Amino acid sequence: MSTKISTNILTKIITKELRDFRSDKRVQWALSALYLLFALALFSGWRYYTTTQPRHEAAQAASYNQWLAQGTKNPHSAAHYGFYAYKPVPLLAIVDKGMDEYLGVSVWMEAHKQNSVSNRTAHDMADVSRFGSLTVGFVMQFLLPLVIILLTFNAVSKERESGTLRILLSTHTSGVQLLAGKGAAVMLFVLVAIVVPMLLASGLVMVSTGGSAFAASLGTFAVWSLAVVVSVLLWTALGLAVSASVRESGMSLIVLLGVWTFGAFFVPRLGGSLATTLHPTPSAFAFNETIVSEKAKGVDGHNSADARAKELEARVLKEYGVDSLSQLPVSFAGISLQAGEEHDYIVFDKNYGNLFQTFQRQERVLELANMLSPVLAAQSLSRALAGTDGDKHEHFTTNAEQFRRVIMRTMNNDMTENGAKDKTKRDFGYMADDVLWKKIPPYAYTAPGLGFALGNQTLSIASLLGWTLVALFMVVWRGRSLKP
Amino acid sequence: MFKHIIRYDWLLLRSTRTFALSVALLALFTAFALWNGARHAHFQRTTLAAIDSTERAAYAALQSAVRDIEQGKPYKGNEFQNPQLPYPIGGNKGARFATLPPAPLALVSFGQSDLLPYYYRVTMTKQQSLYHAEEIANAATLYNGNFDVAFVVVYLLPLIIIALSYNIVSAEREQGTLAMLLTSDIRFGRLVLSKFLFRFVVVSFVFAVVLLAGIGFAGVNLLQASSELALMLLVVVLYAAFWFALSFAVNSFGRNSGVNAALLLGVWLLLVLIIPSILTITATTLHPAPSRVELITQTREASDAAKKRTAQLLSKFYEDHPELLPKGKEINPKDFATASLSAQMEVDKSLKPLQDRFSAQTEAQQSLIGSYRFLSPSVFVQQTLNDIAGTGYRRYADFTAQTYSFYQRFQQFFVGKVFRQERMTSADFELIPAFRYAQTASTLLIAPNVLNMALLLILTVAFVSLGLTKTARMQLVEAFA
Repeated sequence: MSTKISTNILTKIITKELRDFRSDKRVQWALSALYLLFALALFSGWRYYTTTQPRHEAAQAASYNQWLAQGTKNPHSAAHYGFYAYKPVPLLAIVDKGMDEYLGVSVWMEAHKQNSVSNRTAHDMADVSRFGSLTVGFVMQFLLPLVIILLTFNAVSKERESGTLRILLSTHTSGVQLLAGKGAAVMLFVLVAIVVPMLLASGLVMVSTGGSAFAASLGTFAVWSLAVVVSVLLWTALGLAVSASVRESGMSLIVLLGVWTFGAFFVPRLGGSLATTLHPTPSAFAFNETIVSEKAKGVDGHNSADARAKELEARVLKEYGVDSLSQLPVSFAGISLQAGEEHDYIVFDKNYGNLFQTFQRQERVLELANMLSPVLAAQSLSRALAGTDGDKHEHFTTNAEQFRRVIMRTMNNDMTENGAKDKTKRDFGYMADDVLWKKIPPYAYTAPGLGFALGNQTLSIASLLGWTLVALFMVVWRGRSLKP
Repeated sequence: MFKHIIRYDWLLLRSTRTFALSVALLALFTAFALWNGARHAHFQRTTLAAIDSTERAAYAALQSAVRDIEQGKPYKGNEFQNPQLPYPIGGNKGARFATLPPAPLALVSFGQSDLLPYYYRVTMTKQQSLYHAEEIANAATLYNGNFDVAFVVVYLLPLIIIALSYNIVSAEREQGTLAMLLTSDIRFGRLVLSKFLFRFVVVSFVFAVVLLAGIGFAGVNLLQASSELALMLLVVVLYAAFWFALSFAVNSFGRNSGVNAALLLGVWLLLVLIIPSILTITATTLHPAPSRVELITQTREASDAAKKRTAQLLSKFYEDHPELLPKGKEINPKDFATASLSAQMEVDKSLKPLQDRFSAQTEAQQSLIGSYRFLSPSVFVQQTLNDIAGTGYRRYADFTAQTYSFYQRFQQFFVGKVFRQERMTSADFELIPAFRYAQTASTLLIAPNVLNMALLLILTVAFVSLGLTKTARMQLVEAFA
């Protein structure tokens, strides 16, 4: 009997709330503005993907063709020529291009050097772009909460002010039921009128531009959409909890807008400043100087390139049982180049390792700061899922460097093996052709899967779920003690 | 009479925590922002000092190596790396750095200084590498932006103003004092305005004091920077006045506190976020920059093509420049230095149109923003603070342009030596061009900036008049609405 009554009351509350929302002018205005911005964001994301991704693909193919068309050359000259790796733009960049504009897109894979992935798009953008960019993700994580705040801030106080709260609470309705009904109405309204249509529109745009690529990222997009729904639940609960805790609608609105503004504008900059103060980034100049000096003097500063060369020579002569380099059946230049590369790997691994560690430590500080701000946690998770974040970038960097090492090894081994066959054209006189160049496959980067993104975002996920649970708990707690 | 109001308001404000807290927060944020900006400027200055000493040391070492050879010590190293040869010097070992020193007031705004290169390593053989130069930075901090004075002014100051003033009229009604005020013999609008003025004066004063004290404390000579500081304070005060006036106008409609706060925050969001991002999308859609990715492919194509034609290019070069023919020596078409340098010059020439498009398109984007920034005073204030700090688009574009022309001068110095097949003498090292950034005349008080300031003033006056008109029409019944 009582469950029947409560379902009945819930349905009534929901129906009444939905009617209120539909007739509220402010809600209509907010929805129109949100849809307008969403359309602009989706267009801009679509444009970003459709102009950038084909360019990267074409450049990747062009770079490989240039590599194949080098003609006859010494393998080490070819290694110096090298080729470029371009970071593919993920399809989900249509909904969240994340930090893509501030991350490099290309890296030159050449002999002796691990280059940084460089060429940030932001370099060629007007300064006003630093105010932030409008993406579908931004609409969902930053602007949608504002609409939810608008729908919830006076949920309780308007009943109190119109005197209906007393009537409601004196009947069979409990405070928790009232809040649950209101929450369900807000969720229903936001999901049906905003979230689902926007997700469908984004999905459609991605299908029509990505085709088969969309099938591969469907799972990720599903999780991305789920995160949006969680964030809607979070803000609905937060809005109702505050509305039930603060007596006046005005104050409730100010508290909610304060939480939002603090989390959306204050925390990111404060977090960034703290992160770079606690873990300073080296300058590119200092970073390169260290690498150059360690390459020459050895990582410990006591093992100079000359000393290493002499040692290598003695070892190789001994190994082959000959007295001079000219008697070797293999090319010493090839051996020596490969030994040089391998020494440099230690230097690169150490220095890039340190740099990435610094970035990761900065990232930790930012993630801890994100605990203060559900908007930022949602943003961080969103760009990780879209594959437009720092972790994915680092994955690409490492992947390209592994590929560079394969190129160098292939070139040096070929020179070692064949660079001593013709005594008149030894070492650097030895020429190879496209039979060797073809041994290097085209560079193809496979982005890591869903697990990678989720694994890197545990703190953000914890923050999102933590905020949601606390907000839901507050709703129940304030609902129980709700007084007219 | 007004003296009394201000005195009582002051006593009232002193006792309410919101006011004290807001003003204290403003002071705290400004101080922290200055510290953060000073830290960044210090880092850049330290880096540039290290660059300078490294360059000096490298030049001293090269010069003394050549002097040793001149004094009869034979050179024993790799002949390609002989410091007497102009090619390895101009191509690598004698690289000069083009550097942009932070301006005295750099601590005020990070601007574009964390994104755009403030130093370039210039050699005569790699103009393309200038395009790919960049400083290491965590993308997340670039994306988020920095906690600098510009941020405090553009974003936080309006929020503090909103917090201080959104309920000046509505609070009177909500406390039940509105009816009394409306029936008293002073004009209500004047009374409300004086409350706004009072807050405006306190906020501007606190900000100015903390700012000047902080900048002075950071070691900047306030007198030398006085004109920039005066302009900065003027812009900030105008911006603050604009927000107070807007809030006054919103208050005068007599709505309740919540509606006022939501409306003001809505305008804030529109000005600091929505309009700038729409401007960005418009600018990048109408004037897209060429792709750096395509630049890479084309550079490679051009240099492959040039390499295939080096013999031709070289003989053409000597035909065009007979004055650079080596004296008493044969031209060797296989000579690495002359062949590579003529190929490089050909690559520079063929890439010029594409490279020019980069600056042309960013220039077009920037001027589009310039024409439409009146839509958001926040964009104008941010850009002006960047220019005062010397971290704006203009100064960086200027620095890059100076770097490219320096590249030409630097290359030109070696071209003669390489093609005449001359050797470097120890005295030559004193003659190699060095970069020095030439600070261009201040462009702060140009017409567009003055117009934007005038616009801020007009908006302020318009909002105040609107507020006064609306409050004058306020009826007693509204006190009980």
